[in-house]
Amino acid sequence: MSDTGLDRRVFLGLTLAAASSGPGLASHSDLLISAARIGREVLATGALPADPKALRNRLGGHEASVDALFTEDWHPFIQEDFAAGRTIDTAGWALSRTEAVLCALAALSEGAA
Amino acid sequence: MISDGRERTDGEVIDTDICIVGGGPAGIVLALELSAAGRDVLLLESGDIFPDDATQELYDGPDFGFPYTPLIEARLRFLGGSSNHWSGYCMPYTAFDFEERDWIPHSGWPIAFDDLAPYYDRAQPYFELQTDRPYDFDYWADRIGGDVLSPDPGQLRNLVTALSPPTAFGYTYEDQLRTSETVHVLLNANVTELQTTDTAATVTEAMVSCIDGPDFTVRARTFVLAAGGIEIPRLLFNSNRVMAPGLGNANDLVGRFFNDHIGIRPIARTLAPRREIDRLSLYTGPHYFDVGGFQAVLAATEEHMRREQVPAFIFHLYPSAGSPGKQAIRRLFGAVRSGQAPPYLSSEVGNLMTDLDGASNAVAREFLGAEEDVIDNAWIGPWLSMECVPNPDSRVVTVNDKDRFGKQRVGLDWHLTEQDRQTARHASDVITRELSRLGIGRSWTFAKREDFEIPTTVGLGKHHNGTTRMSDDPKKGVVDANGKVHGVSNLYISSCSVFPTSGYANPTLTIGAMSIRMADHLKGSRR
Repeated sequence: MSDTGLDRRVFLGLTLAAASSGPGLASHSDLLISAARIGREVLATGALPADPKALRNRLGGHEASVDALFTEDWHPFIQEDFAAGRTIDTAGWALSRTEAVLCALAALSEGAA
Repeated sequence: MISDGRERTDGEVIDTDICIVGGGPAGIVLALELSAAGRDVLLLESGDIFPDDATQELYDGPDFGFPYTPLIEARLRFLGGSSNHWSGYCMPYTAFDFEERDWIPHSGWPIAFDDLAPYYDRAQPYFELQTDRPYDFDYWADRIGGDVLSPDPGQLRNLVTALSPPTAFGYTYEDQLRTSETVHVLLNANVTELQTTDTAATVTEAMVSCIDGPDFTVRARTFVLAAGGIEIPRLLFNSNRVMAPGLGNANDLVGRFFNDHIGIRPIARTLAPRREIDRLSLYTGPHYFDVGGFQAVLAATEEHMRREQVPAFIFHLYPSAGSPGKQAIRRLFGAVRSGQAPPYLSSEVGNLMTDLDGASNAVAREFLGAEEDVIDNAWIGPWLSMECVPNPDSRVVTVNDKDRFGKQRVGLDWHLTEQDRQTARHASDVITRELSRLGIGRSWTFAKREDFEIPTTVGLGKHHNGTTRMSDDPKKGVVDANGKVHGVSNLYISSCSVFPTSGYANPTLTIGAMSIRMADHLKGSRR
């Protein structure tokens, strides 16, 4: 466990983001902060490369900014990941590969800022 | 009629047509069915109408294997048997449960679902269950209301657990037994041994003792053992005057293959927006009607079990009072008090870090005496109930100790297998993925870890299956497809001890159905 930890509220934010409405995170920027924290944990597991280009390739080569990547458009892909068993376990939490990639990109983006 | 065995005369011989040993659901259903056909039945019940310590103590015995509920507590020994403390969960076994499954050694029943189907229908009323489409999920979901999940049919399906009140068979059927002209229930009558002909081919009499006397004998054309899966082997082991290993034990199968359902409660914790949990009201609790009730569960589909080659498992989607952090802090507090390090010590600390809200709630409860969570979390804690695979090394064994009647006690030597461990890990993966796919939330589980071990605090069904298993082949089973003990012409067993495999269903409804089926079989037998 790294010193960042993975607070449940981070995951609640992700879940709420998936549901696209409701109480929880105050803003999109909060979501990005949460996603970056999860992303650091994902990268620490070594399950994904710490390479933005390689990560973007896994999302079909999207060029959009990281901020613009966090949309509902990924929901079908996330569902397919869970159905197919394409998951990444992070500190006991099961993430879809797609959302893990998004979070890893958020972490790398934050590091670059 | 109901009377007290202690009022019999020492040395008395009682003659009857059919003698049933054990007054739980199996014995009572069997007796009432035979009574309806006009057969004379003597039902011998070890206990009284109410429990007493001296009788209950007859169950006492050691535990040698995976930690189990003390045998003195696992079952109840008075009229109604363990229906005096059961959950009331009922569902029939599936057709798939009766099949031989290549990936489960020793699986396969000598009967098929179709052989039992009509008896399930007849069993429903005994358990005070709905008879109107009781297992039609959509029908009942529509009446109750609430969202219905659409799980991937390649993984899970919606399933009904029909809820009995739960029926306490001694209480519910006492009047019927008391007024019956053909059933005689004898209380406080402990069967200590079955005596046989010189070749052990026929049981001639049951030796009966009451605590503080008297001792008497019962002769019958047919004997049916309707006790639990530990006491039946004990009686057979103690009936060894002709066959030294015990009656019906020519092939060393009596007492082997002990099996039970285990429950990991919960197997995961799913963090969800509160509204998601609210819309799962169909699943998160029981729904009772004027007659019976309904509990929605998610069950592994046949397609899934065939494809993944796994045993059967189901989930109850209960709201969880314990988040990962709360559970971790409780385990750590417990460890401090006992002076022992908990398993996965490092991960417990990690769990605190990942769930500070939950840990805060636990601290508030432990140190500040708070009765409510200080931070309102929304969690679902799916309860896993799973089938353990038949294991010949899981056994009821005799021990060097005797009860007050001078009869050998038995102990339990139960072992879970690597296949069982993998079933739990697999099931945790299925439920966490499926709840995420359905958009309910994100899940945390400890069970997918490589070093996961089934916790010794696991929930136990106390369903003592398998110890006199059913098979057409005497080398593979103690009883045949009719429940008759191989090689003994007039000895039958009606108990979940004859179940070769456990499926995911609680066994009691099937015990009732099997008793009715046996009654039909015995009705046609020679008087």
